[in-house]
Amino acid sequence: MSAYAVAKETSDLDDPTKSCIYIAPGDELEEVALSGPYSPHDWRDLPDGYELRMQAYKEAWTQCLRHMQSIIQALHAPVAKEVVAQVKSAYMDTLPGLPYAELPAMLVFGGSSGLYSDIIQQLEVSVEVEDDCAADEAKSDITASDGAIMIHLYPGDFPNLTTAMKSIVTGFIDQSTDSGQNGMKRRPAASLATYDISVLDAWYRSLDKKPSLTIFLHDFEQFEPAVVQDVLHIPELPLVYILAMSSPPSPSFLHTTYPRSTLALLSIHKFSAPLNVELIDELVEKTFCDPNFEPAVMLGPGSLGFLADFVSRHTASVDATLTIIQLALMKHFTEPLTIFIESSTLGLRNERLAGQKLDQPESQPFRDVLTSRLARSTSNPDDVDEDAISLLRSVNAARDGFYRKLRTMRIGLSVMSIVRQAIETERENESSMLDTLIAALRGRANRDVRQLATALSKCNAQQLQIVLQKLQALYDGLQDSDARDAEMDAHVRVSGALTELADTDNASVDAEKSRDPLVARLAKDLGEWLFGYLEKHLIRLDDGPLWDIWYTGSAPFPAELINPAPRPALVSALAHPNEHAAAYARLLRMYIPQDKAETGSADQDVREDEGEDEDGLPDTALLFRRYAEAGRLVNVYDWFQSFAGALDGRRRRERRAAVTSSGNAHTHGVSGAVSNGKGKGRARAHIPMEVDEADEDAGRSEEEESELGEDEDEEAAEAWRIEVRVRFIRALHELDYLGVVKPTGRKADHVVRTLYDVVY
Amino acid sequence: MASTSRAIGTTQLPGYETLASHLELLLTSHSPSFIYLYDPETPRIAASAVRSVLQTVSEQEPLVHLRYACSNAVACFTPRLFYDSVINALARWTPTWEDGCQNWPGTSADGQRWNESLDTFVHGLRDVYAQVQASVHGSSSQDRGQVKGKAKARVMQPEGDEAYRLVLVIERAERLRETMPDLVVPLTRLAELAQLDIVTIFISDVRWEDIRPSLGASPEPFYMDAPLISKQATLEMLESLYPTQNYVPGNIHQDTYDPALRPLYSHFLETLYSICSPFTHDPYELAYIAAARWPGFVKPLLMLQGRTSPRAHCNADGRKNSRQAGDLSDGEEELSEIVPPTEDTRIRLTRIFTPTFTAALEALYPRLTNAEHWARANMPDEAMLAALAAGLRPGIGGHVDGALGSGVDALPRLAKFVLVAAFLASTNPPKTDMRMFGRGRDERAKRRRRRGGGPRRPKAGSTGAGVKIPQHLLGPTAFPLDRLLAILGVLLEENDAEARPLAPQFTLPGEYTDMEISRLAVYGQIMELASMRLLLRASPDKLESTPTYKCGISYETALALAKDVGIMLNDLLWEVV
Repeated sequence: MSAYAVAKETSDLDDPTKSCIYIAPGDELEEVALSGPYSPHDWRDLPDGYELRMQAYKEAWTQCLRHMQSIIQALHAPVAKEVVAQVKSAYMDTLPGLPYAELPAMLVFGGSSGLYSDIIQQLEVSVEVEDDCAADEAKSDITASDGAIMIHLYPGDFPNLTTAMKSIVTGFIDQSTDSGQNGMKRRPAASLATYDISVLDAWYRSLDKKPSLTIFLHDFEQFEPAVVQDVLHIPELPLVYILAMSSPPSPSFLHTTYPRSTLALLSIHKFSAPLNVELIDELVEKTFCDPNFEPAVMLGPGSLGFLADFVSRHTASVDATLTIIQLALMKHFTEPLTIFIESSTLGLRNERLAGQKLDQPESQPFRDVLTSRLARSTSNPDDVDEDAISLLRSVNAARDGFYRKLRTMRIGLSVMSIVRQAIETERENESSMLDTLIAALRGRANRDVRQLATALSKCNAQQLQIVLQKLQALYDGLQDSDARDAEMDAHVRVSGALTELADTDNASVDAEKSRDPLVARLAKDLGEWLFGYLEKHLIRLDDGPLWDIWYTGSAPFPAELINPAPRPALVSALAHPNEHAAAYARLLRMYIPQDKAETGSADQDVREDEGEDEDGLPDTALLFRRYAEAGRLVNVYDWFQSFAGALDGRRRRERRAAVTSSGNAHTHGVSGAVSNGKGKGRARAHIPMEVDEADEDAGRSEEEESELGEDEDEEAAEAWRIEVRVRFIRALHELDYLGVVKPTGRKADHVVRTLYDVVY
Repeated sequence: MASTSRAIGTTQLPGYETLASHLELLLTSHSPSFIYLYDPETPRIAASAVRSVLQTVSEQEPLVHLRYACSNAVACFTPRLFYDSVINALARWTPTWEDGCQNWPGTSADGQRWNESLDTFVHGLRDVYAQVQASVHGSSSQDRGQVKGKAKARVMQPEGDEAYRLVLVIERAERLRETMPDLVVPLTRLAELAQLDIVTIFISDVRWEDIRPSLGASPEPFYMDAPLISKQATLEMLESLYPTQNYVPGNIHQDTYDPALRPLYSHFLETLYSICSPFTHDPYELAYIAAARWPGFVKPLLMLQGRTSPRAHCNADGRKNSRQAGDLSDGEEELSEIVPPTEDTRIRLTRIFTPTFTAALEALYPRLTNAEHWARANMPDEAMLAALAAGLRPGIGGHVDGALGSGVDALPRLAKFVLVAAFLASTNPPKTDMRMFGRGRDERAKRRRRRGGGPRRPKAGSTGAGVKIPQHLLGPTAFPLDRLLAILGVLLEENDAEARPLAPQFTLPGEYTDMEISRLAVYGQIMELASMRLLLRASPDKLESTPTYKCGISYETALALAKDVGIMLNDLLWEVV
């Protein structure tokens, strides 16, 4: 996209004293400041729709993210607590009778940044707490833990032993800024080296309190084993290592990489973070199926399906999950109507003002779409009021209706999840909550529901008790009063069943065979009730008015953004440059303001249909086409010959065309040399007269423009030859830069292809 | 600090008596200037033996005034560290934080530095020597009229002839060759260089022949070989480790280390030794296992004696390292209550626990877990206690608690495919790929090779020289990234096509797979696996060359993974394992 050969830079190009020339990117892009992202719906957006939607998106995402982060933290908390407890007691609870003091090493498997920050936070918190109750602790000498000082080291800190030790020593000393001896006088030559462990030792002895020294090694697999091994041999201080492992625990990296003599120095404690797959399942469940949390936007099976597939196939990582959910939300908010997600006030104080805004002429397309959408969803299109205020009112009604439905759905899903967990068998363990959620959203959960109801009707008293108690807790815990009212029937039913169950329990205390007829009858009733209940609750979300404002439905997820295929994209761009250029031009036209677009308008007439015509190809693509037809080794000279032939032919044809339409004084400079250097595909689009200009993207000189006469003298031919060579070299280097050619070490004047099977 | 004081043998080490006496004799008389102590099995114990000898000699000072410095070639990895630590130790100088970790300034006040080069180091040694002379001279002239007067008189040494000696002990001397190769020769000739009475002692588990500098630059050392530790000596050594402190961690019965149980401990050690000695002699290892097993071993006994009190007691002076004998006064009243078990109980107890010794060895010797965790996980349960009381023999299996369940199974689906593809690429020769994975028009019928053996297997009795060792015995070979991706493509096309989400935009056969294997997530997965060391990167981490990898998983793991994603691994191997 950069503009080469911009007129003002030609002076620099001619200057032989400069070995390096800065070619500024074309100022065209700077002119067209990106006012907002490209959206296909722009024509029906409100004037400030983009900003308002951004605002709404930010709120929706922040709410969702905060909720998810708290869930993740809660899920990580047990492991973090365990690790912290072990770190703190590392030098206290040692087994008596060990032959020598070991170095505690905590291996944390499968952790994520979230878990690590939890651990760090908890360690710091515990330090503060201990500071507070230092007086209490003073009496028990054994638990003489004076907090912890922690340093973080990364593989880059351990290139060799000296640097590693220096990082450790200075890391600890720099941490304790409060020791107040930083300003001490040191004569570097006459004192210990900074990488000497004795320095740390001396420092540690000087401390009043004896904190435990914790070293957190991130990405432990990346550390150089030889260095770490020596580091582990050196310490004579109460160090605690936390090793963040990314490898799985069972072919243990530590045991396969380090010798036994090193392992024997360590006291190895293993901790496994919760499995990410389970974590994500729980995360999704608690975000989208929790009756007490209302997500502003419900993800549909399209996005959730992608999430499920990505998690099981590629990376089960919490961060990826968050990104996917965020991206789904972002995409959802490109729809102009999503401005109504939270409220119908259109960013104004009240609906009256919003109505006025809708009445303005520039809001007309937006209003038309809204009206037609509302009209489509009602049975009688004439009912739709044309009045702006009442339009907004119907949006409010639609919102309330949707959220009510969503809540019903969420309660239904929670009930389902509770029942399933209680009577879970190994067989059912296979399908995760995420799958169930997707099936329910698609309206395909019938089979699951039936199975569940059957399973429930076969339960024994104990299981029933658990299920009912949990359901009651669920209904009791409903925070929304509307929801409580709506679920009153079910609540009563469950409570009734619970008392009934208690009665049967009392009646038949001696019932050893758990299926006494009363319980059996109760279970059967409950099973039927559950079936009906879930049928009623798992409803489709995509049939109310304006449902797609709050629900992404089966809209596909923009998977290419998360998981692109760069090489095929590159090849297809090289093979079909004009299609890509045309698409780009269309995109560009979307956000070039009308008044500024005039100068570039000639450029934007891209001929999209010039596909197979070689004349339309930019140099790089022309070269690539020859490349695709060559063998494994490409002879550069032959390549050049072929390229030059193609260019010569093209020039001849163009000259002929120019001659036939001669007489026209060519007036160049209107569309300007400024704009013709960018995207080579686009630059091709001109009326024949200007065509020569466009060809010259490889840095031509001014005087050559005048060389359009028929009698081509020697000088011009020479200039043309040089130009062809320059263009070849540039195209070749571009291909080299893209990584599709590689120099062969053996054969002169040949390059190796790195791409095969290019399909045109 | 802690490590030295807790190590075996602050006093005379069992099994090392002869070595110790020889060394003592040498150091107090005319010593060779360079001693090489070779201990192939337990250099750490040998080092502590040497240290204790030096300690005693330097404290007694009968004939010679001895100063010594122990350093470790791993810890002192640069000459400067080495010089600093040696000079400070010889001068008995401890750098403090308050004065900026200053080194020993020397006798003159202008604060020279000794760590600059070998030359300054030698000057430092001479200075230390002078200081030792001065201090001994000063103190002995004070002493003469007092307590030591008699001893001095008996030695009858003229004052000018008093011997002063510096000793330099270097542990793990084999590392000198890597860390400070220039220093090996000077260290062995230190006495010559400094013109002082200095003894250099190297301790190593490598023979001198293997680290000797070339061209005879170093003088021949005085060789000393550490003895093989006998069973008796090992047991004595282990017994000396019996904890005598009163502090016991919370999850262990409080009377576990009661002195009355000491006889039982000896028997326990004997059993342990007989079971574990075929696998390891190392007293440290045996002590480690013993420490892990003992709490569980005595627990039934203590429970039987009704000492069920869960522990909430910790004594303030029960420091872990107060190991010196005679520190038992605190436990006096408890001592009266514990009854050592009868012969019969002891035998029963031993019989029950015998299988767990092996389990402990299997889990603890490779350090699959730590001793404390193992001890906690393998405490005998109630059923076992009951069985013991009833005189039955319960089945007890000390379970190895190494695996955490979530192994490679937890990897994402694509990672499993990548690993299987990597295993195939590392095991099959590249030339066979076309035959193994090439799919022509009627490929599937042709592909099935005859089962049960590779086609290249040489006939029995054919030429011996031509016998090819199977690849799976030779270890993985490196393969370029492209080959991995190509094999991955075949595997995905044949085993994963049904499981993928629908993509109607791909119409050509194989187009979908082609797209899948060029996606970012695949490259990301490969990098991720390489960072887990399940794939080993064989090429340098540079951009210019094709990256090559090696497979980092075993056949068993690959088989399990392949089974998990439904690949018939054995059908795809060129040489069936």
